[in-house]
Amino acid sequence: MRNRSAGFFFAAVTLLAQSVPRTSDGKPDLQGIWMSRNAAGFDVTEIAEGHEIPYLPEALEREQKGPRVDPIAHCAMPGVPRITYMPFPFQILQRPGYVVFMYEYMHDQRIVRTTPRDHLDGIDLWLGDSVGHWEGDTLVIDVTNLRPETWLDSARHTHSEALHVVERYTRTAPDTINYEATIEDPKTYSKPWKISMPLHRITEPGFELREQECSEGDNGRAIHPPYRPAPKS
Amino acid sequence: MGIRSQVAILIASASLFLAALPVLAHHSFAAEYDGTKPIKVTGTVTKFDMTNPHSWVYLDVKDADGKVANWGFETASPNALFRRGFKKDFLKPGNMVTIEGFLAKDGSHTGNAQKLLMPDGNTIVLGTEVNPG
Amino acid sequence: MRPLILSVAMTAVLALPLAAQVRPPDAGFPSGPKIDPAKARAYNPPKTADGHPDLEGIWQPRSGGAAYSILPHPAGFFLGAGSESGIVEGGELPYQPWAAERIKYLTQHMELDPTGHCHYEGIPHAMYFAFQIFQTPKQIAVLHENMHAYRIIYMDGTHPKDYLAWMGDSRGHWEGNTLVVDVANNNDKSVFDMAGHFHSDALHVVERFTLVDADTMSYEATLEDPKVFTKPAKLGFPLKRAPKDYELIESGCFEGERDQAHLPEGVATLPEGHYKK
Repeated sequence: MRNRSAGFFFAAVTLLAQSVPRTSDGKPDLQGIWMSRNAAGFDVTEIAEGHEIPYLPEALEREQKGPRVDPIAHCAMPGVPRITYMPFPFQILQRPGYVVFMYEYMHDQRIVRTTPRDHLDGIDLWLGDSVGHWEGDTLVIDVTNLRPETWLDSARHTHSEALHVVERYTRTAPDTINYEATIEDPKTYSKPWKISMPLHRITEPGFELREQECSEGDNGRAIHPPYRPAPKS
Repeated sequence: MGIRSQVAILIASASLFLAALPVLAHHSFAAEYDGTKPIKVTGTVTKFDMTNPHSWVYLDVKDADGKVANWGFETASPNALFRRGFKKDFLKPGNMVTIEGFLAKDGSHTGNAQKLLMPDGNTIVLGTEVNPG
Repeated sequence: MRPLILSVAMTAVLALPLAAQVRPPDAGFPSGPKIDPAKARAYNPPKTADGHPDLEGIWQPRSGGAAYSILPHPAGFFLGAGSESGIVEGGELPYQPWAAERIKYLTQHMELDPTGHCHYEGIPHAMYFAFQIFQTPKQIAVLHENMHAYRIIYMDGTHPKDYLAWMGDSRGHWEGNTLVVDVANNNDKSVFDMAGHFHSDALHVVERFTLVDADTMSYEATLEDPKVFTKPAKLGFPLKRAPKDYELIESGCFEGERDQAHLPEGVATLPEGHYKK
């Protein structure tokens, strides 16, 4: 299955390269509101190559003895790549030198520079430190400095502070971005592994992100879904 | 509550000028801490949480009778610390440090840290109360 | 006492830029560095491809201690430097008579301050702290460092119905070189500052952003709230462009909040009347 989808992927990319809309600085235009459509938020192995994670045995043991409450239940940010497959829309905005992600989930944001810059030294962040660059028509984002407390999904797939994620965003159709991430963590996994999934554009006319808040202890509801007025038909 | 005087702490005056901009006013510390009750304690770091909205450093502090109490000191947010040159591994469990700050009003072993004297002699301004602009 | 000296020294450092009375291009506003109105009116800013002033960049507000109080207030421990003028035109807010009791109650119950619970600051409160603007013809995104908040100023469309938000809903348009933003759909939970200055869900804010020189933008906000005010109020302060290599760094809040546990109910910040001049 992997070989077949790779074939389709490359064909789609080749066809699209001629026609992908571009921003003023010649980059593929990834802008719009996007959302994943899968159950990776429950279990990331759904979108993992081979549908399994190559754990080091000692890491798996650590995980099974570790905390049992999903950090997002206390309103911690979900980390990368989980933020991308939370079941909420997010918006990409592109400006020369930047790709900006605005997630509806807990109003998270990532400001990704696409000019070279060393990773920050000495601070860990919930959504990590992202440095981006373009490889042809693919946006590649290198993410380090990820806080070790996050889970990759609600099934408690964990990692250490050595986590390193490389994301790849490629438009494959007018309303589709192919999202891939290579996940490596020498303290947790015996080798790097990959996830991949499509991101679908929200095409509903007039759709806008709305505010979502996470408020620990507020009547026991950690996450307030945003109220979205009914769309005009 | 044993309060021990320790060696004088150098004022890191450069930090005062760097800090002349508004930062997160998470809430009013005047509600939680007593500005008339400065304290200075020396102890061994047991834990350091570099986290938002405020980082916390915990120390085992021995009082005059040799009894050990664990103190918690509230310091600045990770981004504010980072911009002052602070790195996440500066405060490791086992380090001996001296902290100057203000006592919590609720009588617990809690303080709002203003300055940290590091094992290598450097002083870092930890205070959350940098000047609003 | 060393802490007193520290506080006085900090106040002295801050008093220097506040010494000059400040007037933005079109009306006086009290705080921050001096803006020469004639120069501001003459300034022709760089424009984006669609012909409007380029507001992009990271901006550091000179908001004069507004997070503590938007009105004039003295310095105090843990409140930073004071502000002789505050950021409100005229130095007072046109509250209806009943509001005084509510304000007093809120200053005696700091444990209720929503920013202490890591809630969004709302508009204009979120504008007292550093933010980054990204600008496209249809949308202007404002990303704040605090609480990793953001809002999108839509240059089209209308305010949604049946929707309240901490950060409201923003719709913008250009009037010459000024970006005018209409902020509605505000909930009644965000606050203007920690000094008890509250509003209702009828709050309607109109902001005006104007570049006055290469590194300075004038920010003004008119606040209307017929449920709490007798008439509109206006506030403003300058925004200064951040240094070239400055970056916003992720700054959440919920994940490590530990102060609420030390705030018993009914905690006052300071003696009654502290926030008044």
